[in-house]
Amino acid sequence: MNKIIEVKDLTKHFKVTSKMGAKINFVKAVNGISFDVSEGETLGLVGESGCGKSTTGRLILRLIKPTSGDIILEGKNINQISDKELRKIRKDIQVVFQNPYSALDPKMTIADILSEPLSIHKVVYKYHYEQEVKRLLHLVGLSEKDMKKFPHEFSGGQRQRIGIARAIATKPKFIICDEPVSALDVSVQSQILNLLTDLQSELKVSYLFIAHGLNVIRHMSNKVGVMYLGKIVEIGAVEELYNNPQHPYTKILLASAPIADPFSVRDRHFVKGEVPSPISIPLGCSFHPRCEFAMDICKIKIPFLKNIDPNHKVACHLSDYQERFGGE
Amino acid sequence: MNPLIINASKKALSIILLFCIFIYITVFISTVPKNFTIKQVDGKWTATYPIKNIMKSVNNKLVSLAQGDYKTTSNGKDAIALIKASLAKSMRLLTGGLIIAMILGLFKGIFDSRRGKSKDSSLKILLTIIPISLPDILIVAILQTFAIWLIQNGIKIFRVAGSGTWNHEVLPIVALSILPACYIARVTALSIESCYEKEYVKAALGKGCSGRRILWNHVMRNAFGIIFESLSNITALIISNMLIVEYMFSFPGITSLLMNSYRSFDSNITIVTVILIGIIYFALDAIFQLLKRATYRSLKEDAA
Repeated sequence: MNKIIEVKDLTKHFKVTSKMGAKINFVKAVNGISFDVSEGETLGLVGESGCGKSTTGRLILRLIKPTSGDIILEGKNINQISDKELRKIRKDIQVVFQNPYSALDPKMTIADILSEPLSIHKVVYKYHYEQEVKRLLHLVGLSEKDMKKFPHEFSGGQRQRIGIARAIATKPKFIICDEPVSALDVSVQSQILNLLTDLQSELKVSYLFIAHGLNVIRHMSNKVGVMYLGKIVEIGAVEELYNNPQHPYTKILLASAPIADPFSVRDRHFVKGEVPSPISIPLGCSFHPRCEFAMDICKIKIPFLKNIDPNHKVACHLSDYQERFGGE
Repeated sequence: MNPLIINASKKALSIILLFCIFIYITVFISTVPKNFTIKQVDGKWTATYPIKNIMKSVNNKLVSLAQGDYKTTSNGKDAIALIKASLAKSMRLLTGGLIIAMILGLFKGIFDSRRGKSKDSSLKILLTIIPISLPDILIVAILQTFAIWLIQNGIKIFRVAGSGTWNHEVLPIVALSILPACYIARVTALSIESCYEKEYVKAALGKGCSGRRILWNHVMRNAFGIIFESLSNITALIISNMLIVEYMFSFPGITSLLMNSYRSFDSNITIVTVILIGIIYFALDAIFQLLKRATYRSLKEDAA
């Protein structure tokens, strides 16, 4: 399959100064991540709060400027183009935000919100805006009577549908879904997820699906990346990763997800301590202070993503050790 | 009945009540005799004039004013013509000052809000805050000194004081507009910056909107609500400025008439001018409230 987007060593360090302005530190929000997404594929990005998932999404969208790294969209490095060219490329990368209550301009009608991207990128001739807006509303399960209403007249689920309609208005190739169902009721979440799945099969669009919920990620994704303190620690095909996690952090994450079966017995995995500050990331493997399997090498050498299977990579010295010497 | 009409009626009634209280207090203060005092006599507190008589005088004064008993000033001039002329001049100053303050304030605010180096941002904010912290008298004095310097160099556009031609009104209008403009600039900059933090602006950027489109279609439309909400705060500011501006420029406006009538113990003219200034204040406040309601959508939601 063709690669729609490739991210190579993407890094973002935010500068912070002390109150007196004397000391300068850097919050290493995203610390050299690499992945790619193929046509029609969904890459799920999962991790705890503050690991850099949303920052990754915003970096790809170029809402914030990367410190270093490359973002290649269909062979073009969007990190090195002018603002004018970037505005044209935004037609192909769109976003669905987490909070449907703040993602829609309260002063604009739904018709204005949906026709804005049409007019910016000249997707259709201007006399066809109304027709196209109606088509988009039908596509996301809303009525054309809703065109003249304002965002405050809709529920959270309906607003998210409008956000999705806005995202698909420019017929993009790649959509970043930044926790699109986190702010919604459970009953509404499934409707939105099914809508996204249906749109993907209809429009052949690729997703970067950012979420906390492991079940949601499993349902939506073809491939999953697990992030910890700004780095991808494991990435692979969804069933391979869920059934055979290799990284200790991935194991802990999967073990912490509740299963609706009081009689199920699972392996217990313990994590010690708190998440270190992204300003002072531990030397070597960033997870080693909390890892029950930490070795001496973990404290000094940063592990890089290595293939353990054709569709499975992990950044862990333990998996190297097991590969070399066998055993668990 | 429509909730909007009920709310508007309640608001109007409260304003009318407030205005009536304001008129009564104004007449009361003007009617109290100058040697009125309260002193202790044989262990009891006694007023030099019975309160009952003072209240009766206040009511009589109100009745006489309502009947138009202020047709001449204490030196025999036509009071109505004098009041009309003064009011017209002050309204020109006020209108000109407000228009310039709004235009300058909005554009300065947009300019201040542009992200750049922190040093540049600090300088821009400083240029907005410094005039707010200067006394009005100093600002007027600076403008007058500037006018004198221009005249000395042969440029006779502005006049230092007086009235009669449009040249006499330029500097007073500028002086009246400076403080409100700085206040509006500060509010505009802050509201624009808060709008830029909103997700719908990030969404617009993600759609490919240009900076100008984001500013006018998204940011300013939402910022106007916040700006208009704060405009009623400048009502008192601009009217109190008008007192100083008219005095220092010897401009024969309504506040100058008030001061002159007070000095000459012309109580009728004093009361009428105070009431007129009060009407200007309430009218201006009402206009700003209407603008706020027209642009601030969430108030309409609450009303509905």
